[in-house]
Amino acid sequence: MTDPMFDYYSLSEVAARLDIHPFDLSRYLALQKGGIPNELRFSSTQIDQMALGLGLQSWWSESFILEDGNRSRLLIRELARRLYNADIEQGTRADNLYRGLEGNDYNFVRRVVNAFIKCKILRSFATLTGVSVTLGTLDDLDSVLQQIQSGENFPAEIMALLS
Amino acid sequence: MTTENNTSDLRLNLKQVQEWSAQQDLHWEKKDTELKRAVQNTQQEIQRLQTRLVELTAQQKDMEQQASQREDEEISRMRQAIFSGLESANQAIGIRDTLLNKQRTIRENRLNQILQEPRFQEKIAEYRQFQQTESELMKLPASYRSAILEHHKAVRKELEPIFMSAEQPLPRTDKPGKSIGLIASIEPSFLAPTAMAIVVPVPFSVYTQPSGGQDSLAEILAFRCCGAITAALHKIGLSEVTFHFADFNGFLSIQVRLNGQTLNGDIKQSLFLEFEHLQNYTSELQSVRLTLDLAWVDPTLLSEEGV
Repeated sequence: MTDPMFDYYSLSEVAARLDIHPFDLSRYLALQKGGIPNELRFSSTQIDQMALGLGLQSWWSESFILEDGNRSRLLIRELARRLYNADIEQGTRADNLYRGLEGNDYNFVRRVVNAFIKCKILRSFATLTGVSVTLGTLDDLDSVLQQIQSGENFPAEIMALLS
Repeated sequence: MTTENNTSDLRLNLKQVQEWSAQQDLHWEKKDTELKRAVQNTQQEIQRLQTRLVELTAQQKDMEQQASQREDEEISRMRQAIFSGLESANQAIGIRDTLLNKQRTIRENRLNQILQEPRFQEKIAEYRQFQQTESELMKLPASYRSAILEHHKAVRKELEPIFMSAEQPLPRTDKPGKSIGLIASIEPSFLAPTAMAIVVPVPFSVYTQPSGGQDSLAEILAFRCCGAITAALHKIGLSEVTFHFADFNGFLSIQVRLNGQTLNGDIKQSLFLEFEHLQNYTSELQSVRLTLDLAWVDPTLLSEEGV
């Protein structure tokens, strides 16, 4: 609908606006009361409601605090810092951890999240609307996150990403 | 000694024996010839039958081989049928996509006609002005804001015919309906499933390269199938399942790992109901008269070797 009086957006457009995969959005809508609407067009108000309902967060809207000459190291350290300070005991969508990043940074942090899962800093679990993560089962988790944050020490899985 | 009877009985007897012996010789000779011929014939027959036996044994072996190949052939033909069915459905979706855009345009044109009606022009201008200044509302004192919002509500009410027109479902095409096939498979059984796959006849790129723009019919179908599967699983108590989207010969395969969870219902029935709902209530599919046909096949047909 081209007339500006009607602010309708397609599901693809909504997904792009929310920086979420459209399939995750369709899965979320299917679980809402009434299911997926008969026609896939949404108003701005509905988009805001969806963002809230999906628990979307933009972890990278806050500016960087740490400094590092190596961009990859900086992203790893910043992610560790944000994880250390976050409250994700109940879990958060995995894509929240890289939402707000773009291009190479986005792809790199996705790989870092996977590496964090491998070395048990994070634990992933499946839900009907996508993958979520929570803090992992590592015994000295706080200390490991602090060491990563300070750049002092990186687990082998993370080192592999830097080589 | 008389001349009339000069042959003795002895000689006669001997002669008779000789004649009998000669006859016997002839008889046995004939018998021997007959027997030899019979033996020869029988040997020839045996040889013929042995040759036939070899031929038949070879035929039997060949048949057995063909029987085992027939199963492979059936699988191969089934895979071919699946592939060409998906291919044809994909083409139908492409054609109906053009039709969907036409239907969207028809609705938009109808709306534009109402928007052009002189009786609405003043209110439309007011409504648009409100839209442009809406973000500034919070800066105004509460009493002003409330008055403006009240007025906006009244304007919107007067424009109701326009909004109603915009809310109309997409018009239905007069083209004949078309049914497209989707492939579904579950393993190892419907009673205790561990994994499920549904192949949607849309390109896999719908998943890997989201358009971010106006939804194509292929995208709509993919989103809705994904939603229907989610709802079907949710309704039988499956919430912690892993979705995986894979490339099945260029088509989108929605795969679900059920992670050994207990089912509170019939998975096949639940999916059937969701897909039926999808087909009956989806404005876009209704508009282009596209129906879905979910065909269940053995999981081996969707195995790695492909079609």
